[in-house]
Amino acid sequence: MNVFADAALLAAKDLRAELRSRGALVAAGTLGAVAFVVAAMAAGPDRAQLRQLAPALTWLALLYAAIAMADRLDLVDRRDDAFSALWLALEDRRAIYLGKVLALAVVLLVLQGVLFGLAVVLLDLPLSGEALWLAPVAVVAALGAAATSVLVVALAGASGQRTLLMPLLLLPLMVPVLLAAVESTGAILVSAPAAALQWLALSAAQAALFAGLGVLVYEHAATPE
Amino acid sequence: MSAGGRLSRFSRPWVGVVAAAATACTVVFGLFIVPPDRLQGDVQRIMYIHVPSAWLGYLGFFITFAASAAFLWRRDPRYDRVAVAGAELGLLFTGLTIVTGALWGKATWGVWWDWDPRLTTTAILFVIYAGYVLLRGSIVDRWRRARLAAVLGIIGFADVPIVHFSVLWWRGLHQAPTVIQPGDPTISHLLLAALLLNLASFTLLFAWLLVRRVELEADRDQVLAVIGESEPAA
Repeated sequence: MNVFADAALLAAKDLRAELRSRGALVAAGTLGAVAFVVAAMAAGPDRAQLRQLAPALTWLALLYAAIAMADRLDLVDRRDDAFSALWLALEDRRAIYLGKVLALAVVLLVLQGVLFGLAVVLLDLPLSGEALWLAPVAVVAALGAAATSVLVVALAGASGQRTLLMPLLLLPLMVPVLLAAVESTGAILVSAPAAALQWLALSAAQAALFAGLGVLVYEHAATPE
Repeated sequence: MSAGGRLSRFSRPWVGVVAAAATACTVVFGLFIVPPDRLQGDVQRIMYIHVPSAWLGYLGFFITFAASAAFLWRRDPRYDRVAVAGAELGLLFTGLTIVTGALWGKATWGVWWDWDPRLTTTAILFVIYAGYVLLRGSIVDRWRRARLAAVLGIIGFADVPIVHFSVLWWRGLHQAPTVIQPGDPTISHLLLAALLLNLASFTLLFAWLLVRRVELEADRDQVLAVIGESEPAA
């Protein structure tokens, strides 16, 4: 089997495990929703201001949920030393990285749908046909966030301070994804999708860079001890 | 290099003495001999520290990147020592850049901080390498620490151009380059001489600190090897 077929199998395994347990996905979605509501409350009750802040609030909330899900997808294999078995069974270990990126990207797309729906309802966001442009923004941002998170979680997970180091290492590296997603979403919501294109390109560059680096160095980062 | 990881037994005192003397000379030159800037006045003198610090901060992080890639390729602990020295010096000089930039910003812009692309990128870079140092501190096993830190040393630096473009497109206030640009620099030649002199003395200081830090790490490896807590250094 080639590396992509192995990666698809591993992603399907992770997604099936999440669908069957549901607990982590629901918890991450709830965490994102709570972060969204708390941030909106902190910003104040001014509806016009909240609408203006909607992209930032939504993507920040998603970042919280993404960190929780990335951690979960790494831990699910580390428990019971299942990761070591995977490590020994696979001919090409890059499949583990690619599989986890794929699975996390799919999970993040689901969470984006939930959180964006929440933003539309709570902030009464006006939606036009141009909102369809949010689909490529969501896909590219999910891939960029997943490619970065899986690599960083492998690093933080191998350290003695997993909980502290994960957000500390991940958040600065995610700045391009966050800015690109916020700015492109803002442009689309004010019916100027052309302005979103350069941000989409930036997000795609981050996804490509980290996917490439991940394929090269994940084995060094994730080697079981 | 010998088993102790000595870069050079002879260059260390020489580099240290020259770095100290050069730094003293450039301080005198920048504070007392070079006239104040026509528009900014004496506050412009901060640039003689700020600009070399910024360049050397980037140099430190680039050294970490190159040494990290070399470590993953060759698995030689000497590269890991250079990587950690580069990161710590990069943090030191980037921290100095941020502090001196804030002092200059308060006097010139009226605020300590602004969300300008170059300021924001520098702050993000600082946080990434602060994470690098904390990651190293959280792992006891020397080989595991070196391997994981090398991965972060590579991905942290590789992300810098994208971080830079993201904040550049976001907004901008920081002045355009005055030295590295097409044509004649827009800075007075005497002021430029003071800047370049400071850059030279700071670079010597950087080199001396780098050598000392690498040697310290090598000595630490030797001690750990003697007391049986780590494999002998290569």
